[in-house]
Amino acid sequence: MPAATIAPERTDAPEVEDRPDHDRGWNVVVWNDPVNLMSYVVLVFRRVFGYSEDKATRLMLEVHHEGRSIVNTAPREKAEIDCYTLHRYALWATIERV
Amino acid sequence: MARFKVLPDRIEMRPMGDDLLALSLMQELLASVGEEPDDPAAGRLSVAAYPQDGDAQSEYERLMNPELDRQRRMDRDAVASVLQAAESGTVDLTAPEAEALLMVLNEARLALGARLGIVDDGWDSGDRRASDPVALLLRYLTGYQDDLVRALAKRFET
Repeated sequence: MPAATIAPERTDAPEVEDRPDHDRGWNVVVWNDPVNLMSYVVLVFRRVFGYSEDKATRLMLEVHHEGRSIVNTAPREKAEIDCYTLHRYALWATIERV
Repeated sequence: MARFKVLPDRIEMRPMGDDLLALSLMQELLASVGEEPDDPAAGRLSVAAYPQDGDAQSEYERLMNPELDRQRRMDRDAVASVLQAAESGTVDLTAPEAEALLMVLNEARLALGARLGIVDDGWDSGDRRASDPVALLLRYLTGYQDDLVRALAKRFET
């Protein structure tokens, strides 16, 4: 780790709206599909995101009852990789800006 | 006797009843997806990541679809090898083989559901479409996938 340096004090913090796209969060959304097994969806959420069984089950139930659930929020590139992985498992996943 | 036996380093797959017939039909089904124009199964297996943004979707498809297609072909090839070995009886599944089987089963079930026009819960209860061979295959593969999910979930916890 490099030695500590003194940084100039920043006085012109950028507005959130000025951030480039890659600094904003993107939601990974999973939509309900009546054919998918609930147990399968829980397993996929645990596999892909490393969620506990409790969290994966809560998200699955949200998908089931509400029709959709935001399963992760991440920078765009990571959100696209997550979406791709969910598509590999044939889940109905989309990406939307936070 | 269970279809799958979880062991520390592998999962034993034990073909029972019509398992191998159903799984071979599953492979044939997936090979047929997209052959007919307007096949709803093709649409269900090609979900848009950006349904509201055509430009972003085009770029996503350019980057991701070739790899998705390649991986799916590899999964189906792995399952074909497993099914060939299973003709002689019990097969030891590696973790990647079990994962490939899990994914291919779900693709097939979704393809069948799309062709049946399933859009709501309750499709698997009662006598609905009881005599439809497509529905029968879907039900069979559903039970089979449920057993595999249980086995993999158990392994996940060990």
